[in-house]
Amino acid sequence: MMPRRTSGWRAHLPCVSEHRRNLSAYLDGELDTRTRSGVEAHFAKCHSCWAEYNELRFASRALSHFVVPDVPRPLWQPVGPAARSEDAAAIAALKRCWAMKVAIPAPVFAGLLVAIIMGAWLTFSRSNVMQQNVTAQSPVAESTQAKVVEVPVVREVVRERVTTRIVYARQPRPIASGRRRSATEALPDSAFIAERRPVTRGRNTAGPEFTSVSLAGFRPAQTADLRIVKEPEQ
Amino acid sequence: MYVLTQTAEALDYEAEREDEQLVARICAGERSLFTQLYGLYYPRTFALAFGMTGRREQADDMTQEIFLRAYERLSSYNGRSSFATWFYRLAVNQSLNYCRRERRHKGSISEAEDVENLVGASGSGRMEAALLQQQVQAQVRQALLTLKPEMRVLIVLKEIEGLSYEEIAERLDCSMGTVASGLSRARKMLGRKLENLKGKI
Repeated sequence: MMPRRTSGWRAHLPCVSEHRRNLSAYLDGELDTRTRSGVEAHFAKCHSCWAEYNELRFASRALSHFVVPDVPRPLWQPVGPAARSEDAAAIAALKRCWAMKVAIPAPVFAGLLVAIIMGAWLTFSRSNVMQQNVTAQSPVAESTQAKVVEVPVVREVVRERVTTRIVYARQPRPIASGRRRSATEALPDSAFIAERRPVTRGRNTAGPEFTSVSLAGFRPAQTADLRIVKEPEQ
Repeated sequence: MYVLTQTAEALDYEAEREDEQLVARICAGERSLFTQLYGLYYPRTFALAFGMTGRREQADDMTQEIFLRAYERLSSYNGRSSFATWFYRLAVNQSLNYCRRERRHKGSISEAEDVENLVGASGSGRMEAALLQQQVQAQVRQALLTLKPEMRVLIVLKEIEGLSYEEIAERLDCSMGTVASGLSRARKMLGRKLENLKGKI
């Protein structure tokens, strides 16, 4: 039953006939006799519908190659649902228990809170500590509020040795200017520092008088060059 | 012809009544009788599962899941429709859920299971023909798996299980027009994916 070939521009137009909707049902033998005859009559004049019908028929024929394997039937063991329903009942009972509503979230929230506080504290303390130790003469003066140390610095360009006085103030870092002053109030005066011996020994070395002074919990607050010693030309 | 149709209907009715009696006894406490239902409904359920997954292991998995679900929900069967309708509707819904959940169906089909079937074929001519047949089968299965589960189930119910439009509409809880248009779309898509088989089959 080949249709009459439509020629010219009409061959490219999609068919809008109601029979186009019935092609799949026609293929499956689901149409009544009258509609079936209508579709067959339509095929005779519509090449587009005939082509589509052949496509559907091809797909149907291809699917006849789909073979379901003949497998032995496994035994039915209805242990699954019984176990599953018991588990579900146990879980539901656990969910209903008011203590579980608190017992599970509480430690989680507590842990989170502790982690947040620790993180904040570490971040804050790290931002203020510039260095934990410094090579310096053992603290010139020390109080609960501050430490005064003398640090040797060699300026390579002018070949001179400088002893710098640095006042390290106790953390946390005071924000208000009033508090900053109060942090250095307990420091000894500069006259005391000036009496200390200048450090002139060695070149680019700290010298035997200088040791590692722990500055954990302190931050630099004031810096001043204490003594400058010109080094001899080499 | 009329007599034959009447006889087939009478047999169907008898089978339905037997199923319903069986379900009633299972619900009354004789849970071991479920094995009989399992035996009756296993072949078509496995065919549905295999059509939807294309792999034997997954089909087994899906079949077990469907029967477990039916076993759990057996008490909710109220007898408004036949047990077969109730069961297959549940099976279709379960298979659709399974396919939506398991996205791994998109992978290519392993040919190991196909090769197993070739071992039985002997002689070069038969071997070649069997090999060609296996390739066609694998391509058809692969093309079917590329369809959306909603389209695939239409093809499986029509082409593999051989149901009528009315039965498909009943199982999917939709109209026959929807079945016809969906089937037409699914076949067209499948035809396009199997273009290279034109002339071979």
